[in-house]
Amino acid sequence: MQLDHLPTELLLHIFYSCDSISDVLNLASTSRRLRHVSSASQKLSILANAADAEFGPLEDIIQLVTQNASQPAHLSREASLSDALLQQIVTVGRVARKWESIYPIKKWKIDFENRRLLSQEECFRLRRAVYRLWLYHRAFHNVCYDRFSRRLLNVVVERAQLLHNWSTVELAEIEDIRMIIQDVVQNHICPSNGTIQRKFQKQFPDSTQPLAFNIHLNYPPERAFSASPCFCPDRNVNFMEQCFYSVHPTSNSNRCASNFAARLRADLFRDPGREGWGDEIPHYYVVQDMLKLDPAQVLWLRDNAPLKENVEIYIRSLGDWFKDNGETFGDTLEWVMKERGEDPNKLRETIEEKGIGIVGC
Amino acid sequence: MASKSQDTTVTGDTSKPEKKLITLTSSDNVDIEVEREVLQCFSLIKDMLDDLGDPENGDTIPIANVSARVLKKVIEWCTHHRNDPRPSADDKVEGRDETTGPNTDRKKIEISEWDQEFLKVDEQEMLFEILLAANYLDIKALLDLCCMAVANIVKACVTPEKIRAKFGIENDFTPEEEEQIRRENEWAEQPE
Repeated sequence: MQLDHLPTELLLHIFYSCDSISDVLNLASTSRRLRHVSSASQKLSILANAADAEFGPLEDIIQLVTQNASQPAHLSREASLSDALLQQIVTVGRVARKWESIYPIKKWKIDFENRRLLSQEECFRLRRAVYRLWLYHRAFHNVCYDRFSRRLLNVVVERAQLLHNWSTVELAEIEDIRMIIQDVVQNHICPSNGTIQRKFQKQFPDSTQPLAFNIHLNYPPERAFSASPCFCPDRNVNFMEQCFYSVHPTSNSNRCASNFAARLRADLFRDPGREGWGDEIPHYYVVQDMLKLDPAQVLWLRDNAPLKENVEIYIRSLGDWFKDNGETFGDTLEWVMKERGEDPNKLRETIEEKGIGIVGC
Repeated sequence: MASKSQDTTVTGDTSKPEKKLITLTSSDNVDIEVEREVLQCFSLIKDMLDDLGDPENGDTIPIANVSARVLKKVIEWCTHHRNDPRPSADDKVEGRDETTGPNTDRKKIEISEWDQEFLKVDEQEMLFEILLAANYLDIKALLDLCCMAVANIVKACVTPEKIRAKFGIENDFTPEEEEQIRRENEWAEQPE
């Protein structure tokens, strides 16, 4: 008895037991019979089943990729399965999977002796939180919401409506991953002057060279930049292209294992001090702005923008609305928590202590 | 903890309360005695016993499609799992309960250590025989387990070539077809 001689319904059962898309495709590529069985009427549902195991929950991905300005973000949307939808699921899902590997490093940063891999259940919660936070980004961190609208009651209520979809436990999971993303933004993508100074001292303990920080401005004077094409996404691209752009850079941009190696390189033409994003208070506002970047954009910058200049070019390409316009998820979470009669600060503390959130019990 | 369970359903006649033995005859004509309670796993036989009552003295139940070697394995599995909670009929985990918190049940169950050990059979032949027997005897949990075991082998193989080698599948594609498949699957390739 050989695998490809099993009856069709048992082969289908095996296909449905595969928990990743590549397993399904590999198995289906082995012989004509297996290909025929898997590509008959059940192809999409086999692939969707594998995608759900690998990247799920699918319903949250569908909410994300079908979001558009024509209807309120909090309404549940359905989409019928198609090849195009599957591709979007894979693209978005891979971003969430990447955060699965970053999360433990950041979550157990101080008590690193307790660091561990996430369980299947925790990975599932993390991915779900990434999709939901991303949906919020798509809906409310865009050109329609400028800095002046953040406190308008109707806008606040609209934002809160989306968060009403989720229980407090689920909101804690979203806030948990948001805090992890914030850590990446403020330490890796936009390090403060203090962070640069510290890392520089650590790497070059003997150096007496003072770093020339730009202490006056949140944003540096506009430099005449000759942008490399990879940092200038076309502003008119639709979401998925944007996503593809940010997830899979097509150019061979110099991938840098450690961004800091490039940042700290001191030579005649560059001073590492220029890599700092300001002292404490200005830096806080920079980070608040940058937190409007979605999980894919943050990853992309982390992997592909080794220098402050690269990050600035990318940000400028997003448009003027981005500047001086802090993220609003935190505010909205506080609003909703107060509506529910709970203390938002307590919630954040409990998340930090791992009492609630993705790894919270 | 396989302490003897008083409350599992003992259907049919209660004259002999426990450890009632029933004889099965395998396809290669070997008689194998099984506790009636263990047969509750075999949905095919269970339904038959429920409908027709237990066999008269001396009668055996023929299992036409399963050899003694495989049948013994299947009985071993069912004996170990006889106290498992039985899944209800509509247990399909398509349910979307958005309101509940962390415990949205995942369909992916880890394979227990005992089951892993159980499935370490010498030849794949045996794995497929058990799979077929589980299907024939309608033992859903064992069928799921075997399919998952096959899927795990597929995962470990990583490429179609290795899957073919592992399962002895003949590559009957023409080079053109292979090229076409490669192109069709491009969308799912890892970016790096």
